[in-house]
Amino acid sequence: MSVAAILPDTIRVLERGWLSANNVVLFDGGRATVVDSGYVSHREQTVALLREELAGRRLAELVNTHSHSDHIGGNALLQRTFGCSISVPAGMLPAVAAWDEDALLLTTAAQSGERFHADRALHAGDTLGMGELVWQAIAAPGHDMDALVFHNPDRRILISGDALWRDGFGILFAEVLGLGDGIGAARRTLEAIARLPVDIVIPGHGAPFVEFDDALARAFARLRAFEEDGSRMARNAIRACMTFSLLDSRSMAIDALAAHLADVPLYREANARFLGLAPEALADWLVGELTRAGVARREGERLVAA
Amino acid sequence: MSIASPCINICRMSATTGLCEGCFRSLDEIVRWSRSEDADKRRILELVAQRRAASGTAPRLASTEGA
Repeated sequence: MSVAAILPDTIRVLERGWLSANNVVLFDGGRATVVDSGYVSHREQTVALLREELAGRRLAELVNTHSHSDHIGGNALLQRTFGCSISVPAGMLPAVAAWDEDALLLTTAAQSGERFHADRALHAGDTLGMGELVWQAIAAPGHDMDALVFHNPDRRILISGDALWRDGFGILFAEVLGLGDGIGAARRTLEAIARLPVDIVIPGHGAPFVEFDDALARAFARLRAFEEDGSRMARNAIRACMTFSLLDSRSMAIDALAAHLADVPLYREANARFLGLAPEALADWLVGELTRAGVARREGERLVAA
Repeated sequence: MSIASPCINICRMSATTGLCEGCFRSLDEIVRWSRSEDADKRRILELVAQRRAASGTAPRLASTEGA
């Protein structure tokens, strides 16, 4: 069955590329909730898309699955534009309140954001009414140690954030940075998710999908590979995060790349902890990887997003 | 397999054309993408290709500075 046939009509998914997480809009009559707000540089379009989807209905609530830049970037503008209240996972509330750009991984990964005010903390075990359905908030540490996913058992829908995608999951930042047991947490999260009744997953990125078991198998396999070979996880993190940055900036000077990799904490730590390469060697490897993958191409002395 | 979205992460609406400057879709076409049937997605992709050709650009790149 197609995704459109399974998803209730009260749920709409605004899917863009990788820089902006999906915006999941859930309607309760004339009132709407949106889960995640996309990246900061896309915020005007996010507002325009939401206006189109809302068609006069009121955006009352914004809920975040976790605190990363591609999920919270539109929060401030949505709050100003629609007057919606914002609920965030309890674990990220202090970092939001203090606007701690290190804890929010903005400075850590050379990303941007706009400060917003969080109105409420969401805890694992809380229930939320969205889209005429009741959702359970479930702890989903791993990619983000404070992340939540939202599950509706009646319609067997999982809003998975970056804890589970069709092919993998988000960077295990705590593990890469040496700040916590990201792999163990991700495994326990996947095991908990695997026990849920799920017919359709609305991921943080990519199209909603029905291949739940296959996605879990891929995620577990990736986790095993990372566990067996930390350098693979580190290279994956560097490649994914630089791809993200390049989508944002569109191009960067190749001769500045080594210094950038040595300067930005995520790259510096990933390299120091798992690879031990000279920054120039890491830069050479990265340019090769990104161009081979078709993510970027060389134009003279610059690396340009493809 | 699902049909890939034409989004290239330049998510900005043009005031003159009313289309996204990155993927050449209208707001309605972006909003309805995830619940469109494949035939509708293909129709949107054809329109995108026509609009891109008419605008005389290859997939467009913004000229912002990098790191």
